[in-house]
Amino acid sequence: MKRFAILYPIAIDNGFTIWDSYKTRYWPTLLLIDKRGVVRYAHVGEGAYDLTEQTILRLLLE
Amino acid sequence: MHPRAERHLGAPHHSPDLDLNTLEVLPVITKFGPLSRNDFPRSNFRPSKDATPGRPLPYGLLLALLCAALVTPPIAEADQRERLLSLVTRMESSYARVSDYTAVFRKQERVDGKLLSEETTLLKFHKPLKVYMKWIEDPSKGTEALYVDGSNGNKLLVHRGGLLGILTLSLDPRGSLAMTRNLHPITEVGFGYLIDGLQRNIRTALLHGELEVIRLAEETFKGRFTIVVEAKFAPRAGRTYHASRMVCHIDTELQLPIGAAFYDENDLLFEHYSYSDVKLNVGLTPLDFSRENKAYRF
Repeated sequence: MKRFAILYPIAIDNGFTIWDSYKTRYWPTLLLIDKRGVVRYAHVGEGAYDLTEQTILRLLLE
Repeated sequence: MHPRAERHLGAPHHSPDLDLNTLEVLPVITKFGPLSRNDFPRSNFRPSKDATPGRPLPYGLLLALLCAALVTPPIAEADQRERLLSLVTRMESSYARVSDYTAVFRKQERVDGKLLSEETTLLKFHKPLKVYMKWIEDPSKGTEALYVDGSNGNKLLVHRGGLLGILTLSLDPRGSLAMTRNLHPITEVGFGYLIDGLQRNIRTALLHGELEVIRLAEETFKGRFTIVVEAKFAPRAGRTYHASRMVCHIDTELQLPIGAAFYDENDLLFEHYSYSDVKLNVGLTPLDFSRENKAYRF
């Protein structure tokens, strides 16, 4: 994190607690959770970067 | 051809331009049975032991023969072109009759200037593009890869062997992670892509007189009877070929390329592929290419 100057918090999931809680099967899996705690978007695998960014921007406006 | 594998070759040593019309009408062997040993004698240029000196030919006849020799390519050269075109046609015809196959597939590639160790995999392939690979020898033993065009979001599923095998990766088949330590994406594995590359390079080079055949003969390769084609490409006019030199082994029974090695302009090996224990049309089912297959670990 220091090397890449990452300043935002990162959850460490060495015990696979989060992985199992969301029934994750593949890496990477991307979940977007809104301010009410509802999963609003999910994408499995690489790619779909534009759609993901558009969804983040839309959710931020809510 | 993957951009990282592309080679831009220098000027040719010597290759006379071919008459394109002449090349078009070259007779092509159209026999589609297995290649026979008589089709490719061990030596095309062995001088006859029975040759005996005869009486001197008349001067006029000698002049006529000399003129004929100057305007037509040597018979051996035309014969080689004919045999190469025949080989290409036979590979295409043979592969057209294949719907699926299994094989032990080995590959060795030079990536970022470093020749990596050989990888050995069990390959299952079904047309048009379903691929399952399992690495059966170290250093990646236990790793599995699955790509089915049109399924799994067109992602490559990878399950590493060993301690890294906890997660299944879902990757863009042409993304940076999937291309690490690879010259080609998984979408280019198999006989079809190899044959297509060979036919395109050979036909183009023959058309432009930019192919120098070094060997075209019988050879045993990994215990199989094959025809070996070793040739150099000498591009002009900005054309590019996949390699500067290639050595290809074509199985005489299967009529498929079971070995292919490609060398760059410095004659360094940059990729080598081979197939053994090839079984054609074995009736692979959707389960063979399903991540739900209980025998797999996705």
